Amino acid sequence: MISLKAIEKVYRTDTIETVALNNINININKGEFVSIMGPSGCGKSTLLNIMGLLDIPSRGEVQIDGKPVVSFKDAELAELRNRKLGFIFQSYHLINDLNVLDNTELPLIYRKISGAERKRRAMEALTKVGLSARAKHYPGQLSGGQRQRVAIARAIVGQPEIILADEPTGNLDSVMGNEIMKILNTLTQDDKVTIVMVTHDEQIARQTSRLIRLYDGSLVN
Amino acid sequence: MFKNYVKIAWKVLWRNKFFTFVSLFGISLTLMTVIILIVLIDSKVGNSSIDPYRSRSVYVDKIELLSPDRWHPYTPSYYFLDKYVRPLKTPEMVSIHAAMMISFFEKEKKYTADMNYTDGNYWRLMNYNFEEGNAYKDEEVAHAAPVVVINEKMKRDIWGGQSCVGKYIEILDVKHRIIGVVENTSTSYMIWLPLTHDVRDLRNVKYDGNYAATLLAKNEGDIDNIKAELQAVASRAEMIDPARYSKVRIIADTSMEKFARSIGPGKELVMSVIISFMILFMLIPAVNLVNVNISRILDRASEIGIRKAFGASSKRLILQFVVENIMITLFGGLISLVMAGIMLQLLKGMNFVPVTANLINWRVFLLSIVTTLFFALLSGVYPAYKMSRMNVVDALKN
Repeated sequence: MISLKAIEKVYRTDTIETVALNNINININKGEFVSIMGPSGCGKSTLLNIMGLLDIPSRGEVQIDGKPVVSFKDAELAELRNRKLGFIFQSYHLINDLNVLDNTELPLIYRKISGAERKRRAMEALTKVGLSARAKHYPGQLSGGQRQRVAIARAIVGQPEIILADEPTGNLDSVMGNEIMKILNTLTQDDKVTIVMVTHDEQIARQTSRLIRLYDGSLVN
Repeated sequence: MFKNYVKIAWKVLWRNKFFTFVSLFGISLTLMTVIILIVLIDSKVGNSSIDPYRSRSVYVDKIELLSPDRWHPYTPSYYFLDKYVRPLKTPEMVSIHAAMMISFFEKEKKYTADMNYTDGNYWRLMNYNFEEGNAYKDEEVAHAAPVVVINEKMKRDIWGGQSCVGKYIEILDVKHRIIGVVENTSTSYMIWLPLTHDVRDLRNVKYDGNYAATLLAKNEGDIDNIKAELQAVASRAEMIDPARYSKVRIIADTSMEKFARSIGPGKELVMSVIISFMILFMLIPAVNLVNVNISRILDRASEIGIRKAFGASSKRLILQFVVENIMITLFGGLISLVMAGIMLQLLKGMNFVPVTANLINWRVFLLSIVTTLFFALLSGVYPAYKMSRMNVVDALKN
C-alpha cells in the first residue's frame, strides 16, 4: 500500500546540514495498524509527513499502491491526499472559525459532492466518534478529547484507505487516549483502514499490529 | 465550496477588526474616488435623462478656415450652420443653438445667468422636466415671439417659488413672457430664448460666430455617415473671403470625442491617460492591501496547511483567497458607492460637478463593478499565489 525506498531527508542551512532520515525502507500493507516510535527529534514526524505526501524526501522513492509519486503534479498530489489519505494531528488542527460539522466535511468540499450529501456524511462520521450532538459547536467550545474525535471524524469522512496519525493521544490524558485508540482500532478492524501512527507511548504502541522504531533518522531492528 | 469560503471570509473579517477596518477604509476611499471620476466622465459623455440621445449625437461647435499657409479655428456662425449643416440629408434632426452669459435686473437686483438661444428642435433633442408650462414651438421661434423658459432656481430666488408662468422678465432690453419652468440641471440661473432674438450674428454673412449644432443620427452606426456628409458639404462650401481662406473644415465630434478634445489632443490618448491614471491611482492602495493581505495569510498559515493536507490544490487555494478578497472588496465597493453618493451631493452643492452627474445609472454601476473586481484581483492575486506556495509542514507548524 505504502512503500518507502531508500528515503533520505536532509535539512540544509548555509552552515549546517542535518540528516533527519537516512536510508529508510518500509512497506506498509493494507489493513495494517503500524506505530512508529522513537525519541524526540529522531525523524518520526518527518517520516509520517513523507508518507502522507506533505513533505518530499531529499532522496529515495515513495510509492502508493505501487505507483511512484515523485512525478505527480500539485493537483494530482492534492487529489491523492484527498481520496486516499486522512490525517490526525497531535494538536488537532481544526479550523477555529468553522463549527464541528463544517470542520468534519472539509475533505469533501474538494470533491464533487452536493452540500446535503456532505452534511449527511459528516454527521455519519461524527456519530461514529460519538460527537453528533456537538455538530454546531465550535472547536473552542470542546475539550481536548472531543477535538481529537472531531479530527478523527474529519480524517475518516472521505473514507480514505490510509490514516496517518501524528501522536493522536499526545495531548490527552490516559482515559481520553484509550478512547481514541478504541476508535482507531475499530477503524482498522471493521473498516480495514490502514493506520500509521507516530507515538511516544509504549503502551499505546503495543496496541498496534506492528512497531517501527527510529533512532537518529534510521530504522532500528 | 463557495459557502465554506464565504463563511471563512466572513469570520476572518470579524476576527481581526482592525485589519478589516484598514482594508475597508483603503478600498472604500480608493473606489469612491474612482467612482466619482467615472460619474464625472459619464456626465460628460453618456446619455442622461435630460440628454437622452447623446450616444447618437454629433456636435459641430468648431470649424477651421484654411489657407495654403495657415489655418484658424473658429466657432461657427448661425449663417454657416443654417446654410450647410441644417439641410444635411443623413441626420434625423438638426438643432442649432448658442450659449452665453448675460446679466439682467429684476426687482432691482442684478442677476447673472447662462442663456441659450435655441431653435425648436432643441426641445425635441433635450428632455427637460417642466415644473410648469412648456417649451416654445417652431412658430414662436420663426416669429421671434418674446417668450422665455427659465429654471426652477430662478423661479425660487426671484419669485419666491410661486408660479411665474405668464409673468414677464426683461432680457437684453426686451420684455419676455415666461412660458415654462424646468427643473434645475445646474446650480446656475438658466434662461432659454428663441434664437431669432439674437441680434449679434444671426444675420451676419460670415462663417465665424457663436453657434453650435447638434445632429441626431438615426442610429449610432450612422454617425460616420453624418461625418462624411459634413466633410462633403465643407469641401463644396463657397468661401466668403477667398483671398484669405481657400477651404473650410468642419470639426464634428461625438460626445466622447468632444470631451477628449476639451482636455487633450485625441480620444485614444485621453482615454489611455485616464485609464492609466485610474490604474496608477489604484495601484498604491492595492500594494498596501497586498501587504495587509499577506499579514492576514501568515495569520492563517495553519488553516492553509490543513486545507492542503486534506486535498486542496494550490489552484483551489488561490481561488479561495481571491473569492475572499473579492468579497471584502465588493463590501468596500458598496461602502464607496454610498460615500460617492454623499460626496457627489456635496460637490454638486459647491458647484464642482454638474447637477446632472448621476450615480444611479447602469453604466456607472457596471464600470464601478468592473473597477472593484479589477482592484480585488490587483490586491488579491499575489497574496493568494504566495499563500498557495506555502510548504504544508511549515504551515502546520505555525
